[in-house]
Amino acid sequence: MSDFYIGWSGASKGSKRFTSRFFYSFLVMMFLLVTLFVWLERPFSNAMFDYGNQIELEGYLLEEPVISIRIQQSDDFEILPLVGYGKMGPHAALENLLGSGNYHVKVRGTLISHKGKRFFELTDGKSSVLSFKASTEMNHEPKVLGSMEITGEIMDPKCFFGVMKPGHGKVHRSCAIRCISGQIPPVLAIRNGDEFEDFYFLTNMEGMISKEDLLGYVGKKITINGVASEIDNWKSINLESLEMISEILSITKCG
Amino acid sequence: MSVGYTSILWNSEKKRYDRGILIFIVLYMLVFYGLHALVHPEATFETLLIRAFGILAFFLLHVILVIGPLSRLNPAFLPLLYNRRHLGVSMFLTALVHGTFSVIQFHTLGDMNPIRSIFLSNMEYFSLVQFPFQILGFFSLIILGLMAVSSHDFWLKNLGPVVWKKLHMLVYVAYALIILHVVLGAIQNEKSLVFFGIVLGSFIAVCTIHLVAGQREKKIDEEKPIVDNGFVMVCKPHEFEDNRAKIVLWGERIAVFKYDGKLSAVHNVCKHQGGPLGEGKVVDGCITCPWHGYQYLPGNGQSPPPFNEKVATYELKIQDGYVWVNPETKGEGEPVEPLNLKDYE
Repeated sequence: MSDFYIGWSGASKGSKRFTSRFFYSFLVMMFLLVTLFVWLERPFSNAMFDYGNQIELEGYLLEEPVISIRIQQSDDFEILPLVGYGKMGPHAALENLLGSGNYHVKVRGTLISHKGKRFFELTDGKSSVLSFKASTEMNHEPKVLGSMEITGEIMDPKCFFGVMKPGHGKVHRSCAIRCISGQIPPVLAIRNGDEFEDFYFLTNMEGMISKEDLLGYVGKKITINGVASEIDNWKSINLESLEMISEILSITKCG
Repeated sequence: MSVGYTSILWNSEKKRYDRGILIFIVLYMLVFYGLHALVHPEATFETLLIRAFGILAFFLLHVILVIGPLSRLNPAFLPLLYNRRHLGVSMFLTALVHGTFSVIQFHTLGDMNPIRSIFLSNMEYFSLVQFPFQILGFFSLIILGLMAVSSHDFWLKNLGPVVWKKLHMLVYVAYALIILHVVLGAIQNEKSLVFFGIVLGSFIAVCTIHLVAGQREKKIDEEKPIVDNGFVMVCKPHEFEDNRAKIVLWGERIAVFKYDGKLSAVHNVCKHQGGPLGEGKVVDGCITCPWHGYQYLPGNGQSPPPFNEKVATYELKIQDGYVWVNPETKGEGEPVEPLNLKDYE
């Protein structure tokens, strides 16, 4: 057998030895690189999307500050903002109920949770609404926190609070834009160091900023002025002015 | 011109090559998912899938890009070049998995067609920091896809080696897009500068290997040939190695082979994929291309039956103790009487 390699006539022993050495060296290099990658990559958050495990919730349907279900757990109330399937808000699933009064509803869907906040995905669209009845009970009034200026970044809460990891940052920006465009309510996330610690729903945006303009601010550092309020476990801020501080955001501890 | 389609002509080397690719990919996935299960159990399956296939495609592309110049520098790498097309198709498929799942993850189930969404979600086309990096990956995937579907010899013969080669040189455009895709995308997701260092190091390695190989070729091209009466000097007869060639440049590269005590000259470029015939060897009486083993008869530049490739042939003479070649070709596949060295001893 010639040392000159001709593929169709088979390789010599020397040639086979060389390619085997190359192959095993490449395998070892791959193993080292993957190990290095796993060791150095940013940790993943412990956010949770309970995919495939739908549960039922019963409570009052709120339309302000964002479409939510308010449930009672012993003496406490918890608000779970509602989102639709995929990158859509809950509007299609609730179209028969929204804007037509107060309702007590029973819905089925998937829990999303992170940092002590929970969202609820109406996974099956209209079929997610199992029952509803008109309610005379008044919605709980929000507590006004006053005028304030806060700096943070706009993100889509569905992904950040569990559906995707990472659910924010450069790689996720297009997805966040799609989600907010699809009527998932935008959240202003406030950092403390390299972690997020506080969240405000952005409300009263109509007349202040167009949807297209708002999408341009997603994933950027911005300062917002407005009147903030709090209802149960969620805060919101009525947008009065918005200013971009920086396009560049430092990378958070977890993705 | 039309060419009939025949499926892959398998042989033991191609099977061995493909087995190696498959084993490598399976082991890589096991290591990638296994280590993540141990270190990052919170990671989601989809994110790992996108990352695993993206990284794999990135590194396979680097291997594909360096095999060519490495084989020029050291023929021991030629077995890796032999079935590079299958490695290329495998790389495209891994890139396709990465791209498809990225589109599903980031662009589907929204209020816009996912393909439109790639272009219209992030509109910061004039910002380096916010640039919509996914578009770069999208276009590179299209190029890699074109290369993958046209990689079969059916397309090589239908398009012709020149057009086919030009199409496949687009791999460098795809590579540039992928480097930018990674630097403007995934790298910005990570804190450690090591990732940037790995990408930069890989890029420098690819460039360096190409430059070193190119420099060697440039040296050959820069040698000033001696010309006399329309003939170009090759070398003295005893300087030839048996069954090997000396290459001279006069507009085109010409390979002059010594075999069975005779000399014959043919065009240096193989009709199959443009391989350097002059770096090949005469095996079983045929000039054999080092890339894929295509063969030509030295006396007439014709592939032995049933093949029908033809390379140009050239006239040789011995004068003043040197071998000379007439750079005016006799034509492709034209018989030229070999120069019998015994006549000049």
